Parts: sequence; C-alpha cells; structure tokens
Amino acid sequence: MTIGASQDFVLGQGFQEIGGYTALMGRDGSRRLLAEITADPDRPEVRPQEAYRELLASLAPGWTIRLLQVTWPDPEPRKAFLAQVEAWKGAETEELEVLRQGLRLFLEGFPLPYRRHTLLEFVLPPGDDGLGWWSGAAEMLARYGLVLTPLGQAEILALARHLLNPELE
Amino acid sequence: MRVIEKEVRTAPDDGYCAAVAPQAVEVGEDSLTFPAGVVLPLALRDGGGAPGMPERPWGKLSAGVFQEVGAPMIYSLALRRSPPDVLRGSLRARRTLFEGLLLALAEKTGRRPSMAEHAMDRALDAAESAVALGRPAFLVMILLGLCASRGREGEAEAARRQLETLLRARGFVPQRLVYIAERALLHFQPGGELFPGLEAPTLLLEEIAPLLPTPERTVYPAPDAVWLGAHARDGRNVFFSFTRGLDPASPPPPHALSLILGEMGAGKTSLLRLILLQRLLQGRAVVSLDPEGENNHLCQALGGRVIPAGPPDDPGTCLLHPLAGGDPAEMLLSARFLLSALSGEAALSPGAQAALHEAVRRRWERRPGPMTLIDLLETLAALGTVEAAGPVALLRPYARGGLLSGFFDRPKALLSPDLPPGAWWNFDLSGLREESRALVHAALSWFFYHAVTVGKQPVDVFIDEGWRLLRGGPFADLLDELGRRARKRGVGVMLSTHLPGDLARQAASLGLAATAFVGRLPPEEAFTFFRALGVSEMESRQRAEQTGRLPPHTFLAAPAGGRGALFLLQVIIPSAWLEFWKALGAAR
Repeated sequence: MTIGASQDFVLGQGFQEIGGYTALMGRDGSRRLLAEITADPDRPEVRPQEAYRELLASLAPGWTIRLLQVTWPDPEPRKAFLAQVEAWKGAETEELEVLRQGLRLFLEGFPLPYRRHTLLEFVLPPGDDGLGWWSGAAEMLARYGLVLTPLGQAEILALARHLLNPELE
Repeated sequence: MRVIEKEVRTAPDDGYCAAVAPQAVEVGEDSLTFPAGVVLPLALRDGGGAPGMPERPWGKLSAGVFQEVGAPMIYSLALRRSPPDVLRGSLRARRTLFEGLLLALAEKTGRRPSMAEHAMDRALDAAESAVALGRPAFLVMILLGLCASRGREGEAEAARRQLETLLRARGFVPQRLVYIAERALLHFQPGGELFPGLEAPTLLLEEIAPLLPTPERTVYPAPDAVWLGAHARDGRNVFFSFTRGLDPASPPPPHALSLILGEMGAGKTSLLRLILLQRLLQGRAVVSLDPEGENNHLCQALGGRVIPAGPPDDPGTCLLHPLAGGDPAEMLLSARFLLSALSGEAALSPGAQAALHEAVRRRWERRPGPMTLIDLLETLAALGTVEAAGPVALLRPYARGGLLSGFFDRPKALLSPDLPPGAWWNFDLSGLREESRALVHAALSWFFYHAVTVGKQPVDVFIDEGWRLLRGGPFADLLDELGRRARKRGVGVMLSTHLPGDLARQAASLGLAATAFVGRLPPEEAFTFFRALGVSEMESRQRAEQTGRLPPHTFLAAPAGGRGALFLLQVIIPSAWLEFWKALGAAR
C-alpha cells in the first residue's frame, strides 16, 4: 500500500483569461477552453450529429478537442417543483392536505434523476486561429439547435471537483 | 493497492489544486475508490485495420450503446485531427509495405492473397485516397468510467460486465486498465491527459459521428405545472402545464385541449386523476365528466360534489336554475336558450320569441332579479296571447309541480355558474338514459356556457372515457365548443379515450389537440393519430410500432402542435395516492 498526496493527480494548474474566455492551464503547458453543450434531443430541429460533423470538419489539422459526458445528479427541477407544492393553496380539506403531503414526501424520497452534462474541451493551439474558432463554435452549433455555453472559473472548478470526487447522491 | 490521502499544501499557486483534489482516492487493480463513490474504468481496442474499413467494428458502435446499460458514467472521447500529409504518408507507407509483402509471398511461394488480405489492401487504398481527397481523419481516444455510490459498487461492476459483453459482441476488446487505473483519473479531469498512452485508433469523420454523445438539458417545471413522472430515456422528471406544455422553454401550446389515449389498462384514468388532483391542490376549480361514475367516491372523499345525470334524489334540489341574468336582456337570452335547448330551434318561432320578450320585460319591471321557471310560466300565461301558449305548453312539465321539475325548478340547485376555487364537481353520467340525453345535454351546455365560457372563475375540465361523449352528437358539439374557447378563457381541457379515430372524425378544435399522451394502442390507430398531429410519415410509423408495445403507465408524450418532439414518459403516481384510491375502491 502506498500513501501519497492526492493533489499529485490534479493536472490543472489554475486559470488564465484569454480573449474573454477562462482557460484552464494544464500541467503540460496546454491551455484548455471548456464549454457545456445543451440541447433538447427530443426536438426535431435539434440535429446533434450534423452539428458535430460540422464542428469536427472545421478543426484544423493537429487541433485537439474532447467531448466529455458526465452523469450528474440533477435536483434543481425537483426542488423548484417542491417549492411550488409548498405554496399550493388548494388543500382545504384534511384529505386534500394528506394528498399534498403524500406527494411532497414521495417526491422527496424518490431517487434524484441524473443528467448527462456534455462538455467540450478544446486544447487551445498557439496563435489566434484557435481562439477565433472557439468564438465561432457557438454560432456554428446553434444552427443545429445546440447551445454552447463557455464555462467560467466556478463551473470549471465544480466540474473538476465532481470528476475528482465523484458523488452521485 | 495505493491509498492516497489529501495533503494540504501551502504553496500560493496551488489554489486550484487544493480546491479540486480528491479528498482521498484508493487506486485499486482496476478501479478507483473515493470517499463517496467508485469509478470503474473501461477502454476498448479494435482489431486493427485501416481508417474507414467497413470490416472494422466501429460501424457497429454508437454512443447509445454505452447508455444501454443505464448506469451513471463518465464518457470521454478525445479527438485530434490528423495532419493529412502525415497520415497520407503513413498510409502510403503501410500500403507499400503490405502490397510488397503480398507480392513477395506470391512470387516466392505462389500463394494468392486471401480475401482478408485483399480487403485490407483495398481499405488501405481507400483510406489513403480519402485522406488525399481531404476527408478529415482523427486520432481517437475513448475512455469510460462506470460510477456508483459507495456501497453500490456491485451495480457499477454489473454495468461494466454488461458493457464488456456488448463491446465484445461488436468485435471490440474491452480493457479494464488493470494496474493502470489511475490513468483514468488523469484523463477524465478537465486539463487532463487526453491521450494517456492507451491504444488510440485513427478514424474517419463518418466513423466518429455516431460515437459523439447526444447533449441534454435541464427542463424546469412551469409555475402551474403538475408532476407526471420520469422521461423513460433520460430519467429526468417530467412536469406538465396546460399553459406551457411539457417544457416552459418552448413556445406555449397553441390550444388548451390535451389528450390521453390508450387501450384499456394503459393507465389513462390514473394519469387523468394524477393531473386532476394536483390542479385541485393548486386551488383550481375542476369539473369532470365521468361516463362510468368511477370518480364518484374519490370526489366525495375530497369534499367535491357529484352531479347526477338526472334530477337529484333530494326533492328540494334540482340540477340547475337556468334563468339567470344581471339584466333583462341576459334573462331573455337565458329563457330563449332554455326553450331551444328543450325543444329545438323550431320552438323559437317569431311569435314565441315575442311572447318570451314581453314576459321577461314585464316580470323584470315588476321584480328585477333571478326568476324561477314557474315565475316565467305564470308571466307567460298572464299574457293571454296565442303566441305565449306554445312556450307555456313546452315549459310546463319542467316547472314546479311538473313531472320533470327536478331538472330546473326546485328551491335549491346543484349547479351554479360560480364554482368556488378548489371545488371539484364530478358529472356522473353513468346513469344517463337515452330519453333524458337531450335534457342532460341542455343542462351541461348551460353550465359550461355560464361557468366555463363566460364564468369569472377559471376552471379545468377533465373528460374520462371521452369516446362515449364523442359519439353522441350534442355532446361532441359541446366538447368542440369547449375546445375552441378554452385557451382564451385560461381553461385547461383534458380528454381521455381509447378510440383516437373518434377524435379524427370530430370538428377541427378536437383535432387540434395541444398535447397528447399516447399509451398502448394498436399501431394502425396510433399511426393515423400521429399523422393527424402532423408527425412525419416515417416517424409516425416508427412511433406507432412503439405504442403497440408500451407497458401500462408508459405513454408517448407528444408536445404541442404536432411538432414531432415525442418522448417516452413513465407515469409515476405517489404510493400514498394509490393507497388512498384503493381504499376508496377507485383503483385496481
């Protein structure tokens, strides 16, 4: 058994602002730009395959990206709904109040849903071309119904913390 | 096994490191264990070959395969675009070497190349040509991490085994990163090693596209939403709002009419009740049309009112007092409506209309305000004209003392246009008789007009087993009228039926249902319905096949306007509610 320092596993080295974006500095000297891609895949106008094809075809030779999909508990919609249930005013009889409490308790105890967060990581190449591509990627994806939201420091920290300290409850 | 504890460092540039470093991690033989969870890494190797070669297993793999196991995971796909010159040079060298070897073998031994060798040769040629013609190729690294909470490691292990089987079936060799599990940790994190020294094949763009993960997003409930259950594929919670549909980020539904379709046992009534009761809890007034009387006990247990399809048992109470109006003009309209509802438009001859007008005017001058049917009858009789005789004769059976006074003329009335907020009135139509169908329809028409169409209190209308009503002419007209007016009035209308064909035959407003929940249905019926919703023929056919196999309480949710964004919904009813229904005999 080896006892060591878990910080040795961390390859990020802090942040740098580049062209209005937050870049994560890698231990290897690379700069990584990160963004979350969201879409409603049930909608017919959302065409992720075509969007990805265009995204990949637009990469210059030697450029590197990563698509990372991470399962993450998604409690917010449930929390928002439970807050609404608390504010419902129609439970005037005892039976209706029992139903309201039954719904509330059931939802509080029901397993939290997971959401697959899809992230795009771009290894910023030297020169300005990479930054230009990154700036245009959001519009390119938007044509296919995908929304690209660049991550700031707080979001990157949260992502790294989740990946290095996975917790599903 | 190596257990690594978090070490607090004091170096000033280590803020990021200290903020994100694992609290502790145990690097096992083929696993990573953290204080709150485990990650089981899995990589895959193909059997070699050339980029784009059809015999390679990549054509059988997609991101969806990884989701088939249904376990939480980290899925990482790193891609580096290969410089075309370098790749072309490498492919050309491989092909030259390969062909040279085949040629040498043929010359030295007389051996003809095998079919596999021919295929490889062709593939190298095709790949070199594809790259030369500018088709993008990428160095690809795929790594998965099956995740589970501590104590549930077995679930992740089972998922990994299942995934290994799926990968082997497709021709891949799964790799657990035995003795190098920490490479997964170094790879997955942002800023990590994207190519951590594992096999990384070169693939053409067409081979990569199916491997890219489909994005999702969080869908929040609208302010007036109700809980329905879970999205069958994504597992996200699904909420529904009459005003905002299934997703408040989408444009609002163009109509207020929602449908629940499905065969017997599909769970239509349960879904209808789930929505109805939550609307009631929100303080919304609710009216339900219940052809089977299935909701009577539930309605009464919750303080609601059950309205029979005929005169109430209480001799002092009738169904409704139809002559209501704030001024003489409104009163006259009520009187005309009643007469035509009872005897048809033909009863409103010019003479009859003149008599009604005179009677209402006289009565109002003498005593303004509500009037009973017997009041109107006496005033008409007092006119003493021939024109008044017709309406008097038609109305007499329904006036106090008449044999049918239980409908409209007793001291108290069950129905009034003013539904209090949070009230539930359930129309029990199980006792509807053919002889009284027109009368009940007249009562319902009056009620819906006054309470729903022009009433001050917003009301939701729920219609169970709607096919019974859709097949009766006057009721179908009534529903059609409701559908047309509901949205403007802020009224939500929900109709359940197992015969979508009846809807297709109805007037336009019923065909323009906003949101539909389609449970198990015969494929041909489902196909016709989806086409009527505006779903493309191909998707309709595919979805119709799917609906034929749906288990109970699973519905295909078709969001507003037939925009084709259909998804599978697992309806989930709180267990306490089910117990409550069962205790009342209102559920099986």
